[in-house]
Amino acid sequence: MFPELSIERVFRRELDSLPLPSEEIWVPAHRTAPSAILAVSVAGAALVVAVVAAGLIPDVSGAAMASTPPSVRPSASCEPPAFSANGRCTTLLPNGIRNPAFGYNLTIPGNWREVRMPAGTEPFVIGRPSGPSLTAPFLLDRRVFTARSPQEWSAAGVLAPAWDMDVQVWDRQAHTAIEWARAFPCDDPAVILGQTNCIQSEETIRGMTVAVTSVASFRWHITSYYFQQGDRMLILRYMASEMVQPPPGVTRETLDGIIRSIGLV
Amino acid sequence: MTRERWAELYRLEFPRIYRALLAVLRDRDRALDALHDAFVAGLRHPPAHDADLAGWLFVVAVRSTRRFRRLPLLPLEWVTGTSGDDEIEAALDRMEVGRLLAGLTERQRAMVVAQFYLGLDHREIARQFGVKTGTVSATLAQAKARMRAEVRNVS
Repeated sequence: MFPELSIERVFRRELDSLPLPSEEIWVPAHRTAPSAILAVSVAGAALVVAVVAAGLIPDVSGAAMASTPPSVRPSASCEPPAFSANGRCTTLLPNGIRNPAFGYNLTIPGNWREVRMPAGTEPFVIGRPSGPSLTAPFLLDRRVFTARSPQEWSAAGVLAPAWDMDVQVWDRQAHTAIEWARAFPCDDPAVILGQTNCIQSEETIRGMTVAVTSVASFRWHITSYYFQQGDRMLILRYMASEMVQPPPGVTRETLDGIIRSIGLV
Repeated sequence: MTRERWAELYRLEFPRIYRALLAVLRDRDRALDALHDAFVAGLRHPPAHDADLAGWLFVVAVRSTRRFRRLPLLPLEWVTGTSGDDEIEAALDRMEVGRLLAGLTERQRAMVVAQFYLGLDHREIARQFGVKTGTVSATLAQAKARMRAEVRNVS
């Protein structure tokens, strides 16, 4: 019989003597997430400084700028969404999202995930007889993606939270993408609050001409892309807001990149 | 499980799993890369229970080495200032355990190390490796027979 008990002791004694690499190459870097209060405080302070700088010091000369010591920036190689692990800078591989039932694929960054919007937050617009009906049962599918952790994510309104990606599939109801773009959000009184500007344009994404709307106020932008696909209208929408701290590493470029990854099948 | 909790558990388990992987792979870069892959996999889909962590990390790491062999991102010597895998090979060859394991296949080594070093029983090994308990028993029996033969040859 093989002496298993003694073998276990020998394994432990001998293998435990194998040298470990330096801790700096394998201990995951601890990155403490700033609290919401701290984040708001920092954002507020930054805004105040920016406003004061813009209002009170309008004539910053080139010489003065040149004399300012260069700021020390963190290493560009390990900024979010990358993180340090084993002393290496790691980025999770992007995830392919396939929705064959509604004919599209998307690629989202590796640290993103899908979330379920709470009941009662279905998008709708009331009283628009000339445009498409933006109520059930014409909303066929809706998926929202976020870079936030479950602890950080919450949604209460019709729109997905700022810096998330809202992907909606609607029954097109024989309306064109331009008509959809007009119906929501450009002419929607629920969205047009005060001094907003709605810009409609067209873009070509992967050979498709896409209607694009951008509703902008001082503090936020809602950007929507309308993909006309047979009897369906695919809408990708996100809100960028100065009032909401984006998740680490998420910018408008991140969101635009997700939209441009789309493939219609 | 939060990322912070996962990183903490990973840090606690790293020494044991890393050494187990060295015994199986006999290559520091492969062991580090494999463990790194397991860490990243755990960030995405952490194991259901903390108690399973060692076996889970070990098996995910071993599997990742079978999928593909990644080129190291950074030569280990740049960080540690020591030589490469010759040192590990030599250390293992000096060990009784290292010599015994050298005669086994990588799969046999993985199961032997899981049992004798990580302390997993046959059922846990089967569950982590995704095979039947009988397969684990047969693999371990073959491995032990080889190791016994090696001991007889040496003596």
